[in-house]
Amino acid sequence: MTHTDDQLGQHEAELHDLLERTVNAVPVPVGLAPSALQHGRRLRTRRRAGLAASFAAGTAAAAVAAALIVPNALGGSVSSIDPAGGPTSATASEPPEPPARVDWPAGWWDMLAPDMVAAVGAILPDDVVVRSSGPLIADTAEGGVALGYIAPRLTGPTGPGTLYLTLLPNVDFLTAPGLPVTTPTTGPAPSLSDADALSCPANLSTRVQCEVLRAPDGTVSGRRSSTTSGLITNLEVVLQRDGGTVYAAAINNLDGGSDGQPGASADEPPLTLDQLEDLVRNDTWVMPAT
Amino acid sequence: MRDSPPIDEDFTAFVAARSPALYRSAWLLTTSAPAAEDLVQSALAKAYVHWRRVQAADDPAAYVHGIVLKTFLSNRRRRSSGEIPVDAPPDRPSSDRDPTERLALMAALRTLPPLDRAVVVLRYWEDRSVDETAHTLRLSPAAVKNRSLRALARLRLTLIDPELLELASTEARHDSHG
Repeated sequence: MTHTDDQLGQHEAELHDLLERTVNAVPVPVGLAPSALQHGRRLRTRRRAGLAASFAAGTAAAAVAAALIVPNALGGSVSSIDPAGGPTSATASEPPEPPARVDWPAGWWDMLAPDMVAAVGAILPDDVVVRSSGPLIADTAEGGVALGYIAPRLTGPTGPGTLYLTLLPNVDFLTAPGLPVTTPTTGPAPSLSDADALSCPANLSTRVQCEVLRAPDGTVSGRRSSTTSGLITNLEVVLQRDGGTVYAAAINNLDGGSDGQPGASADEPPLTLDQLEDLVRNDTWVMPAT
Repeated sequence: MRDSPPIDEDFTAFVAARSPALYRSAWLLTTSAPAAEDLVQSALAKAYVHWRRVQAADDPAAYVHGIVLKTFLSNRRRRSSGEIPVDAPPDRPSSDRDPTERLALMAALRTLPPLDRAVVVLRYWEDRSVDETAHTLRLSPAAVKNRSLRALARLRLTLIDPELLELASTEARHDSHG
């Protein structure tokens, strides 16, 4: 098609007007902030755990460097990219090579996200169903199928909500200078907002209920907690199992819940705290991959 | 040490202020509400992890918009590992009085390659210049102009296709009754 400058300008103006008319009428989900915060914390936890594992193995520098290097499909050469995927990153027109990722010890925590969603569907109580899988792509610059992390949307007896499930290796964070302390024995009281906090903090607020979980020998092995913020209730269970940690949270929010009250998709999360703990304790998560 | 609370506060304030613009750009890129939400969530999670860097940027909003674009283009290259629809997405009330035009636009945008769609969003929704678009997408200005022309022509052809408009009208009627 041939355009004169006038025609082109007119066409551009028409498209601009069309976008203004249609896009400004699109309803924007409310409550994106708390959901984004949840996603960000999970991603941060997994990244820190991955980095800590690399530090602990004495291969941090090489592993981090490997994670930050992907083939530049534009030029076919190798270049460094912004780990945040920021605007300075290259955009390519061809698929990248299989991604390099920060390695941590291989184990059951590397379960493929689609398998995790299927497992959750099989474990859930009869009156709770998976409505959608949530993103199955890794939230990392390296991309690929997510391992050990899912955020499916569920519908329970009280309505829809989101489940966050993360599998992690037990990493000795204390060997990694500058990385977060994850045990309750050292450092500041952990915040309940962090997935890697294995125990209850000393200074609980009225919005937070927390119960320590103990192994048969009496040692602290995790926690189960409930946190309310406005209309949102966030239930969490964290449990160390077989060399790793299973973290799960159920929240009455749909990444921007629009079903009635702002931010809340239902009166309660789709799972109870007991059901969430049953999910975390299910042996599916600690089975080696076949 | 853990991140101090102000990070969460700053991040939450940023999301509250910028999420409408981010979501609408994501909606144009993905052409679907659930995919737009997932894209914005993924991009914001990355922004949160690197929040200090976002804050240090000359234009933090543009920086996060760039993350949205990068995430979109990366995800499009990995379609095989994308979302698995398990059930119908949750219903979402729409404020559209007449969604026909919106649905037609969505259908038209879907006919564009992802990179061309990104060019359209930057040039005609975010009002970026050719040079800014070229810089963001790591293309030459000539390539941006070429893709803009191609996308404009494609959109015009598609939007005046009566069959497509009829399809959009059918979808709109279905939506209004569903």
